[in-house]
Amino acid sequence: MTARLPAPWGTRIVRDTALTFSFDGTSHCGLAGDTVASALLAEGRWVLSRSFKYHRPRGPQSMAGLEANTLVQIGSEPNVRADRRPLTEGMAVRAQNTTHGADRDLGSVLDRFGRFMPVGFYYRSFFGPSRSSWLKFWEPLIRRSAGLGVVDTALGEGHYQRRNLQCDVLVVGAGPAGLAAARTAAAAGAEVVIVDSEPETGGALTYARNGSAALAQARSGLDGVTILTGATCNGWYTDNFLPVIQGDTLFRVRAAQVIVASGTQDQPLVFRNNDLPGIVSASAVQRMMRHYAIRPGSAAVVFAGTPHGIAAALDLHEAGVPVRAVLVPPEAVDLPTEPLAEAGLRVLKGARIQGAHGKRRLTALDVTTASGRETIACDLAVIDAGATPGYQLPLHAGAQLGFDDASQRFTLSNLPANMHLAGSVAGCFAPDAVIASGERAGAQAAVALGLAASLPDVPDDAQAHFHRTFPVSDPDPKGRDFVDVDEDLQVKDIVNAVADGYAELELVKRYSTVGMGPSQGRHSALQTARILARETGRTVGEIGITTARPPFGPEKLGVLAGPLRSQERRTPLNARHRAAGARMGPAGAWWRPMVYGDGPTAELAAQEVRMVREDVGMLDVSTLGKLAIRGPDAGAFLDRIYTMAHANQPVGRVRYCLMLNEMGSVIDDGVAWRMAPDHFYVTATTGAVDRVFSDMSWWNAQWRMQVDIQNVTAGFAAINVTGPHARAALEALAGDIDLGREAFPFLEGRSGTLGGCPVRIMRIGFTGELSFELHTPRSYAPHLWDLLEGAGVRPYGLEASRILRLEKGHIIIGQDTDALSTPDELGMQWAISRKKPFYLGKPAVDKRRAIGLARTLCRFELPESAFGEVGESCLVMADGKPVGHVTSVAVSPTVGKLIGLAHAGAEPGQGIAIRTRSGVEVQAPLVGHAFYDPQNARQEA
Amino acid sequence: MTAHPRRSFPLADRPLVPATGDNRLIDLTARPRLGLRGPGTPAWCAGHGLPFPDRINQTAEAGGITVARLGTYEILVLTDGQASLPATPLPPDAWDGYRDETWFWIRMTGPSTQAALATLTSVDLRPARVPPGRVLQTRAAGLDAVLVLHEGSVDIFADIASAEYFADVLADRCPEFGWSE
Repeated sequence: MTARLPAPWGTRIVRDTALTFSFDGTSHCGLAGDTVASALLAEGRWVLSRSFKYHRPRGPQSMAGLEANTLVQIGSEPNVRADRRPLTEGMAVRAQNTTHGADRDLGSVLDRFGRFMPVGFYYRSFFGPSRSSWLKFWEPLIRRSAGLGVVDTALGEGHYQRRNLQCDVLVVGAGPAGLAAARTAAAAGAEVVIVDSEPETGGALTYARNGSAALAQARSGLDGVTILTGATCNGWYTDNFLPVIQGDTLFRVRAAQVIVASGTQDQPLVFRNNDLPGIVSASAVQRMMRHYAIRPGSAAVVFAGTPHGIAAALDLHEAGVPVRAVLVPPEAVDLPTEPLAEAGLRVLKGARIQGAHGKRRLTALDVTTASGRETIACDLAVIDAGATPGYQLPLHAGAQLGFDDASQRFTLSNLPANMHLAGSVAGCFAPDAVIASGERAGAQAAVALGLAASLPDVPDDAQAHFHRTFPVSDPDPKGRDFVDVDEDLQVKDIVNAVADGYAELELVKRYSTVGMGPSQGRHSALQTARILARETGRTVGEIGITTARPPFGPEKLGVLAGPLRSQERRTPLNARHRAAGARMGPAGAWWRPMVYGDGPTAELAAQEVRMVREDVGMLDVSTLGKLAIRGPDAGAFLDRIYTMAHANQPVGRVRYCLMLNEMGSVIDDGVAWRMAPDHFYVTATTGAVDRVFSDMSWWNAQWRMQVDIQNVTAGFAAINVTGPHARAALEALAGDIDLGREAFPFLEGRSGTLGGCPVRIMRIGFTGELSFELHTPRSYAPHLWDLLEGAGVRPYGLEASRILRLEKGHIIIGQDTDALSTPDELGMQWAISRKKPFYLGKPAVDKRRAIGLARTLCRFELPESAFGEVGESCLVMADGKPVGHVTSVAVSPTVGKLIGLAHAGAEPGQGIAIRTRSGVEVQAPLVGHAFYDPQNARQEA
Repeated sequence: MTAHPRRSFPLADRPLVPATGDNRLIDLTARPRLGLRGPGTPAWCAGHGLPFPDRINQTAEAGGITVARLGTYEILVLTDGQASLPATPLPPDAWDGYRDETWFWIRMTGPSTQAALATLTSVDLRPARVPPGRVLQTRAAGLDAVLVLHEGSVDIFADIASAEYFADVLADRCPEFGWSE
């Protein structure tokens, strides 16, 4: 165990609150405030994971969640960034992608066979020896050996939240620049939200050398600013829509102005074995010490490419970590190294790192200087090789990324008008320049909002030229000089990709997978561009980087999905159905009773069918679409919408409605009851009513007729009372409507009261029996249902309804039709007005009729024993070729046969051949009329 | 709440839940209200001494009655529970919108109202943008919804068939709100 540094090191930990947890089954102890990684590092454990391809031991490099090295499995959750996840008591942490654990991984043998896995090898290999080798052997093998955690498919639902958040200014990054921007914009009167992925504000000031005073200053004056910490802004989308993820909550932020103060991302240095645990960035080692009081090593070497490296070396020295040498590369020899000398540290100017030694942790570095080669024993190498700006959000928004050869830095330009940069992402590094750039960005945003604010000048940054990046050496002869640690890609891999003909960056990316790992190129984009520029004789600026797209960081699918609750609609009789023992089934968003009672569904449905045929039953048809069409042009409007005539429809009459699209295909049906000269009550199918309403509204906007269209589906419940005793049952209820045959004939509608409930009754039916469809305001439905039950009417379900309608030969739109079904194919010429000059789809109907029928919908019957062998979707064959399919089929308790509907050829003759589920063809005779009561005597009784 | 011997409403049996602080949900679905649409609507308002809001998506109040204007000729008439709604027959050019049957009515009140609404709808509800007296016709919890904003509370109207679903959503996303009478 490594002892913690004394206070004031360790600003985030609570030293007197110990937390126990396990890693790979071994018990460990951390402190409250630790991350998983910091707790393990504090105990001297550096190997947290195994690499993707070669299974090399890996440990934290950035301590900022920027690389895949810290991905671990915690309980059922894979791919957790150990350097971001707060430690909790009892946590069970495991290394990923390993056979036995972080320390022992048999897969590490692959590291010895790297030469057999050159770049792009998976595109050229694994096609033999047999045709199925890929699926049966190679793919399972590769999937096992190259994984990132295990998904627990048995895990229950997560609890994800989604919140909408509007603001005048969103500041991304709560470092000194972002805080200054937020303070300035808020002072001008803007509503400001500031987000940062760190658990506290302050950015680099929380770990920077001598940052405490500046940190207190930066955090002041933020009254009224909404601060979201531990929150990652994961992308920019059109109109300044920015998703921000905080834990399992997704904030959907809409901001008038966006200020990006995202800082920079430390870049690694490329040399042999640069992936060894113990090799970390300068900011990482400062985070380890200042945030968590970790003593990061017993002997350190610092590569100081910028002033950050010098500060890190001084921090290490101050913390008591022996610094064996500070390496200043040739490109940075003018760095102010006097403080190092004053501290007595050894400074090697013009030094380069040639390689590293170690197995599971760094043991030494090979260093070259003008005076020769030297191997320095150390277990910590701190790399400060410059940084790239946090350019992702600006690039999402359409900014351009350039590369300044003089400063060897990326630059951003062409920002959208409502986005501003502040701090180091804008190329400001000196503290006063950083804060001034934040204040200026905040003022710019305020002015853009129409608020009064003065724009401060940003002073010249005398330190800017020190902040540069560094070249990539030629491939090491022994390899393992990693460009992308996520994907285990070495310098030679990029070089070979170019040699293989992939000279463009986007192609190199796809061929090599560089930048496609969890860090999305944050530590590999610049190095790849440098190598590609060198290999193709171009500049880094000409190469650029690959397209930056959201998301910026990892996001769970659960976060994107949000709260798991789908819309459910219930009829007012829902509780009645459940109380009666109904088996409920979904019908779109609705829940409907399928059958009532216990027992096999087919038997229960058959009993319910017999009940309707012999007595009376009732079906909750409240889900039917219902539309109120009102106004002087109501009849003329429906004339245009539906195929039958409605303008001349008598008041009180109910008429069938068939709706076509402009292709002449059937899209819906229902009935229209003319309740008054200017008032139609129209029904539509359950699934299509929203579309019908939308289409009607759209057409009315075109036609500008005097008509009001309202979807009243939910407002009215509907109960179909059907069966030979239906009239008697209703007459038992007190009412003011004459239900007699002459007074209330078939296809008529009446309004009045029944059992004290206001009702609209239509003499229509889907079952073929005497039927009354009762529509009542929703709130009265349970009472009316109870009265009907009291009158001896028992309910039946949707299963029986489907059989009853099939016996009568009625179609269901969407089941017996498809996108091409015409009225002629369905035998519904009777539903087409020949006199109307226009209705939707008429021109297409006329043209398609002229072409002739390609198929027809037929009624067929088979012995009951064919049930199961002949089902929906079974093919209808003619001369060995499919010409259609079965659309509906059921055993009819009434007819005693298997009956069905099927699409067949244009002239099917007397019978059709149906290919059964066993693959044999059976001949099914056709029936030219309804299977039940073809004379319609019962329904018109 | 008025008792309706033959009528029943979807959330009536939902158990009451204590609120955290002053955050409350009140089911007003059974309270009388009137939806009216058609060109005769302004004249109907005038004939009954009710204000017709100058602009769409605004409300106007008089004597315990709130008139929310939803469209050129569409209004929603609400009562505070004390005032009675006009009961005369509608003129031929104004039609019942069946709003007492097609929409549930839930009132959300308390200090967390705006934060709770942020979990339900993406519309900008900052008071400076939508002051009390405004009407928002938007989506809430995946439903078409009408929000009528008052000082310190909001009335939510949406598909009555989805009332239980909406109540479940509120329980999921706004657990700090309790159901009360």
